[in-house]
Amino acid sequence: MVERKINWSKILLAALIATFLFSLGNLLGFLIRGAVSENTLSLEQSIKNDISNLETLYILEDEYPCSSEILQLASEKLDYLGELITVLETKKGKSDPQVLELKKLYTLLEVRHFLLMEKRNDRCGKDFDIFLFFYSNTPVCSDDVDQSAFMLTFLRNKYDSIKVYSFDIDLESDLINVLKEQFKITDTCSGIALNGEKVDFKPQNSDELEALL
Amino acid sequence: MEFIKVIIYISIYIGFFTLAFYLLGFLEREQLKKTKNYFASIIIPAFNEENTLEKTVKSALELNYPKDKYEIIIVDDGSTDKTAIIGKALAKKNKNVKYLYKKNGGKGSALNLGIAKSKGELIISLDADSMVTPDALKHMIPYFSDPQVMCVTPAMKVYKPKGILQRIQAIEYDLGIFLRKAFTKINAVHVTPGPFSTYRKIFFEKYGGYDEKNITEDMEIALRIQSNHYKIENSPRAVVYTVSPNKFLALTKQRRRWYFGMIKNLMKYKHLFSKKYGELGILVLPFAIISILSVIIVTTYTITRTINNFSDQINLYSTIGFDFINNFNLQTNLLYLSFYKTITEGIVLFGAFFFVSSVIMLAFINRKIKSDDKTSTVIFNYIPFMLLYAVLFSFWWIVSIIYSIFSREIEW
Repeated sequence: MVERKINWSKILLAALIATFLFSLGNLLGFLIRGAVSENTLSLEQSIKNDISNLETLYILEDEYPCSSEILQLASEKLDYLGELITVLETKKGKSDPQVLELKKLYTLLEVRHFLLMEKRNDRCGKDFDIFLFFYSNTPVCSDDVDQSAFMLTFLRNKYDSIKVYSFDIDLESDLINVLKEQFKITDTCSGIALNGEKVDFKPQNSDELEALL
Repeated sequence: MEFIKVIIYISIYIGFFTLAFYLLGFLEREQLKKTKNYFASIIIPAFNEENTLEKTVKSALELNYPKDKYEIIIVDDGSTDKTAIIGKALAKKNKNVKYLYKKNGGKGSALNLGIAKSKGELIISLDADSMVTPDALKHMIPYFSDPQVMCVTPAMKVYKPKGILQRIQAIEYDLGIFLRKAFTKINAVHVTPGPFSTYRKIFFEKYGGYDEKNITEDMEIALRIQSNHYKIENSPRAVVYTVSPNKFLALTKQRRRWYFGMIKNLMKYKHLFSKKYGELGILVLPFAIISILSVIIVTTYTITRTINNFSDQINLYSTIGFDFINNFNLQTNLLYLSFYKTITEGIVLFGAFFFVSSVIMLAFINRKIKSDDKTSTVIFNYIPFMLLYAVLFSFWWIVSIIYSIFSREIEW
């Protein structure tokens, strides 16, 4: 018959090793997150630089409204900025004050680009279909917003002649409120306007939106 | 923090703890005394084993052990294929091979008949689909110098693994070598596998033979040895190769039998969950149950979430008529975003850590048991193991639990 004794010192040693490894893993994760956070500072700086570059492009675009090169460049810059802000939003969170501030600035740039596009359509003959997409960032709206955003992104990728401007209605921005009022957007989750008119139904697929072009 | 993340982090901590605890045991040195060459009876229960029986017997005949010190008893459990012809021919050709026939009654009854007809002081069970390496018995015998040792288990490896399922099992069996050795340091081995586990005959004489109604008689006998406070040892250098199932259905059937048998046996021996049985009672058996439950919860959650995400993507793509070509737009920043999300996720970091440490450990085990497996093969086999094992393991356990609840009968 074996005399069984519990080896408490070995159990304690194993617990210490496990705690060490567990802490090491968490520390590593923390360090990686820290290193990437430092990277976000340069990202913020890059966004700010891009914003001033874009402003210069807008002045040029205003001067030469029918130049497709300037328009192309300004549109690409705006899209790129949108992506960078999405990256920053994921890293720092949706309610981070710096992110909200940049989103407000981005909104301003979008509105300016939108106004220039409207001017271009008037002066140079109508080339572009312009969608304004108002969305809420609240989790309860995510399904509805994701679906509309997906369809609009698809249309933008499919047709070069489509421009989409997205506005976060949860941002405390007077500019967005004015636009909402102008286009009679009353929906709490998402609303779409096309070429100055509110789309007064909930599109279920991209064909329904394409039919409006 | 989400509830599921709490479960995952607790499981990771328990994983580290058990790994550290077992590793401390595994690394302990052991000193073996010389002992006599016991007479051993190798019992091969066979039911329709025409494809592998001859190889199994030949491997036993080639054991590096005095020929007059062991016998081989083939017990044909009412086979309907050519097992009888092969068994009789082998017995005719080799004087230390015996062939016995009985009506089909299950593996336990075949082993019991073999024990009754045996002459050995040691009884070795050898599944008819397993091949023993020449030095296996020589490595196992010294452990019997301790009179408290009632059984010595070998190191099991998958015979020439091919295809995803066998490669996954190859890693599982290799990890089993580590675990079984680690368990011996705290006398907590709770399964004495069919291929080449070696017992003192006196145990069967004192406590009865195999439980013939038990579908996992190898676990029952191990728990019975533990229940009577004897030792089960392990010799990692006594390598036995076994042919593992290569078809999903056959493998599922095998696992359903094992896990269902484990549930039944743990219920039968529930008194082992006690301080009286040392680390086996307070750590090994409870942690086995906790890890099974946590793997089932986490895997089920992951699968459900993946299906939901997939279904969301299908719904989104249905709104654009599944026009993938026009929707394609490579955005480098968003790719970077996915990468960022992945590398900063703690669970992914721990997964990578487990991957690297497991590969190192398996390479170390293979070196220790002098296996021919190369580290590159280990890595190659470990990838499907890492990706699929948890899913398969959970699936088999869920099926077995359902069978257990509805008390369906399972045969070997």
